[in-house]
Amino acid sequence: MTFASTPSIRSERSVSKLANIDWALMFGVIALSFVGFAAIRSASGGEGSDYLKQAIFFVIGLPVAALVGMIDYRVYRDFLGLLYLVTLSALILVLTPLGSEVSGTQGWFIIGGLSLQPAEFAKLALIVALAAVFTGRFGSVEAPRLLVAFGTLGLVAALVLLEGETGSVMVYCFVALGIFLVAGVPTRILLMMIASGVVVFAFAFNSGFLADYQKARITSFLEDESSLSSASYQQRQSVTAIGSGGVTGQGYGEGPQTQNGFLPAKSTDFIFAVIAEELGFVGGAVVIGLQIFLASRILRVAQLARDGFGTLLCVGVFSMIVFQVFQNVAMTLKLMPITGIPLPFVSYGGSSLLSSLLAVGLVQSVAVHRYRGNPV
Amino acid sequence: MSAEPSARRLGALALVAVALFATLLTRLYFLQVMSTTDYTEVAAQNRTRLIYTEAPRGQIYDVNGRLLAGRRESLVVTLDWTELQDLAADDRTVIYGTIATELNSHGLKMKVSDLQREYERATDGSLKPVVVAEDVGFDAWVAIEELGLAGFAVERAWVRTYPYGPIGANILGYVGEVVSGEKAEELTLSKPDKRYEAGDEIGLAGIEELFEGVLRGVPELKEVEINASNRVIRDRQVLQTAVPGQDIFLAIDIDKQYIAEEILKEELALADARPACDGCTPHNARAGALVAVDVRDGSVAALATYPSYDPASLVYGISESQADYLLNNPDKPLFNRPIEGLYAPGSTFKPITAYTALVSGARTADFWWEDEGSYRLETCEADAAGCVFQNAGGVVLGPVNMELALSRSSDTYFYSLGETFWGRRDQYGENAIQDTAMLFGLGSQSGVELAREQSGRVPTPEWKRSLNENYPDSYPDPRWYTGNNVILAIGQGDLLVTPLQLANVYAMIATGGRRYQPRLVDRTVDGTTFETVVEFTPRLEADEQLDPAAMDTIRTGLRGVPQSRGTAEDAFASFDLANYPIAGKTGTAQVNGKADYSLFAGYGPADSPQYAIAGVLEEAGFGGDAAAPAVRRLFEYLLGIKEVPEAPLADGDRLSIDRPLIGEGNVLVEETQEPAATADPTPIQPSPEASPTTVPPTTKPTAEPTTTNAPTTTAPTTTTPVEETAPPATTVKPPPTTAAGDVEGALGQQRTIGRMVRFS
Repeated sequence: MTFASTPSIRSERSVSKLANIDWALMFGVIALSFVGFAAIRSASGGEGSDYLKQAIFFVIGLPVAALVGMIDYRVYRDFLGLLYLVTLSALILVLTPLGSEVSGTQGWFIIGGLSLQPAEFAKLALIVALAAVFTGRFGSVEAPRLLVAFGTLGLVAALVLLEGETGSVMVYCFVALGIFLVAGVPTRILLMMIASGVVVFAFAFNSGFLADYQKARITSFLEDESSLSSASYQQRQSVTAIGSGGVTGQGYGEGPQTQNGFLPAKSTDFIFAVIAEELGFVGGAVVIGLQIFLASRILRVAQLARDGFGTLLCVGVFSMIVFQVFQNVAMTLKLMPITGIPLPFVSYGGSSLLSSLLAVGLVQSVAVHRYRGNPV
Repeated sequence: MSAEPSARRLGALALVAVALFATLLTRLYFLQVMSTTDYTEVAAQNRTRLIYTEAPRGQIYDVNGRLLAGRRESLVVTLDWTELQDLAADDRTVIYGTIATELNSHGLKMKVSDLQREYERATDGSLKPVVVAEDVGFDAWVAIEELGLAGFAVERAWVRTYPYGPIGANILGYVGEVVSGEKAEELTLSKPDKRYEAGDEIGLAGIEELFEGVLRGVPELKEVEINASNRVIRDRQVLQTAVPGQDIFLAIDIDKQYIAEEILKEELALADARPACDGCTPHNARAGALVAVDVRDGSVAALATYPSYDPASLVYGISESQADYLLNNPDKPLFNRPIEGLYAPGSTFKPITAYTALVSGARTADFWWEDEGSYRLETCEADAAGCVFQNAGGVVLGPVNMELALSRSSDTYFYSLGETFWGRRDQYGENAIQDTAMLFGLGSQSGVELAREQSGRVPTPEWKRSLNENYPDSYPDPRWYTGNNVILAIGQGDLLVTPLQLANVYAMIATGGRRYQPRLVDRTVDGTTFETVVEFTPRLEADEQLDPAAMDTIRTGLRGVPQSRGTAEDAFASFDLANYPIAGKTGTAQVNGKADYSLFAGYGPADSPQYAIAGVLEEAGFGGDAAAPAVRRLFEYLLGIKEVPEAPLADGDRLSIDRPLIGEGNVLVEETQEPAATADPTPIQPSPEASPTTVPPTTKPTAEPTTTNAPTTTAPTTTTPVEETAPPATTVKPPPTTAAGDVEGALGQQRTIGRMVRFS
């Protein structure tokens, strides 16, 4: 409020926007990203250019995220229709021959050397859309609004399911759940949602809708050591890597499980196992700690937001990151089934890093524009 | 907007997040702090593998230190499946095609499907690259190295060599490859320190097989670190250093073995070409055995079998046609006749009957028996069919005593003894003759250091009873008849001996009862220090202290055999018996539907015995015609009358492919038959019933079957109360009880040949 009364508009705008940035959040993002570069580098045996590619995405993504942060988040609501339409178009186009199939999912645009995953960016559109749907109606959610919310979610989720990216759909669901929760959707409705989710899952699992390899991934974490399935093998190797890391780890670039190729998808899905093997409990706890720190900052911004829309945006991003972190790390620890959900900021993957950065940009925008006195 | 529920719900959301993160940290703590030791171990096992390398196999030398089974380094092409596994199947096929083309261009046969099969086989096995082609030569080596294809390399490997080729193959045996991982595990269990893996070299016959544990070295065992693709990253430590296998020195002199094999081969060819007696089955002399043992210490001087094979051709595996020859050839080249062949000894058995009679008092040495050419059982009242047993060819020998009965081989003399022993079994016991036979080592293994030695068979009334009990359908009659005993007395019927057993019998006659374990191996020697590890000293199996008076009579009788009017007179016609007296006995064994088997066994010099020799020539006619000349010729070399020629070395560079498997062996029969059939149009004694395989004689016109008084029995096949139940005089009908104790049963045994279909 103090800055709002400053006479000079020009200085007020420039000073206040920069000053209002949540620098701690930025620190967390940068720290995690750098941990990611290092881990990706080690996962590729100290060779290759993957970590450099990741760094390039970061270097491009950070200013874009800053730009997103500098623009008042309410502007995004104004262009919501366009945003949502573009997202749907991308999700449809990716199913056409314009899109490409990468490791079993028809979810990629490959332009030049870059591969982009619209499902990652759909997360952002969904967060903005769902937050907008509930804006200003905290605690009194009418049935039609709920239906609109479900429709918004369902349309995107259905398209992404067609691509075969069940992991992303799970993220959407938890993002929606988080927003619904904070938006004030009655507890019984939330419980009903969760219950129907379980029923749908059980039905899908037993109806043949899921491919065998997908089922194997889901059940592998329940299997014992003797199982020979590939999913079980992957998780066993991951747990072995993490367990053998001990307190201080095998040393950076020295993890036998990582370096000798026992660990599967080590620079993407199982990047946490790389860190835990080579840097030990200390390294693993630091990564989780940074994620907690990140989440807590986002929650703080949600609290400080000037309006409900801002809060719900932050809640969406918070849910997205918390769920991804949990699902990804729990998978490497053999607590959850294998899904292709990356560890935010750390896993190798340009789309994931970009969408995570943009999501933080959204949160920054809420932080930057948190004071009512701020001009739009 | 109501802020309160929002804040509370925000708190709830935060709480959920806290719970999730707490779960992660707890689990992380559990894995990394609480149970890190377990997982460290798992990780270590994950990447640790034991790699082992075969040590050089021990070599085999003859008694004079000449190399019989050696080893040399060979350039081999190996396939490393761990390097190929990550490739697409199509890419692998391309590589296979390139390798096969390259090998073909260097004259080595290889098909893409062969390599595919090797790859699939290898993936079930160890990490060790498997050998897919041997002896590829320098050019192919360079070419393949230049191609630099994934998964293929050229390495050096030890390869077995047999410098003398087929000479002594039945003694040496051969090596093959451990065919499967399961087989390797089985072997490793029985010899834990020697540890086998699929593809390893293993002895499959002869000394190679029986002394596998000695010849095989201790493999090097190395701990290595591997990656997830099973590729070796670095060596950790050598857990066990390689120890070369021990060398073996045989008691055999390869030159003597060679000359024995040559004699056997040549005499078989001669016998095959010789016409059979009038009305006899034409000769078909295609197989035989010639065995010589040193009566002084049991050392085996020669152990010849025919036909044989070249073990060098088996080192790399063989084609299907080669396998077919080895396994399905009716002459059974893998069959080691001196120890596996079971034959009716015929008249060579008579000294045993004679000893029984002399010692039991059933007959005295100077009892004169009137040989009328045939013998009618005393229990028969008339000359009913089957009551009468004939001398061979119905020859009438006139009055004979024990010595003459042996020298001239009077069957009737021994028929009567056979009947006497059975008729007065209250006095002599049921098994009078059989007990003596066993005393002389028949019916039990000699203990020679070779696998698959047969025990032979001494038939007894008890044996016949149990046969009937167990196989009432095949053997409906449990009773032992006079006829059984009568033909047993002349070594026919169900009696079966191996040529080695027969040689031992004559060694015992020569020494008055000493029987040694046939000594094939002299000593084993450390592969590194060349110090003797185990010395195989002569081992006296039995010292029976045979009755000297009885032995004198028998020996005198046997010394008469090669002399004037003896049954081997012709064979020893020009032999210097004055300086090198020989005692021996001819035998002519009847086999249903085949020409007679020709046998001779004896020892010499008769006054100070050195060697006992037994020869069996299958379907070669009378003992005096075929086997006696073979034994006589071997005596000439062993007793120093003639100089033993040096055994020829096989051609130096032996390549596995396109080399005739059994050089001389099999070819010889065809060569001698075909030219002979057209070369000599004037046979001395054309045989009217000569079958196309019977060839007129080209040599030895002195052979006079009609004057040879080698004995034959009239097989009791006619129907009289006594005779219809007597066993048919066949030696080849297999009694199911003793499949192993029979010719056909032994022949039928499945033999393993390493890598049989590899290069097919």
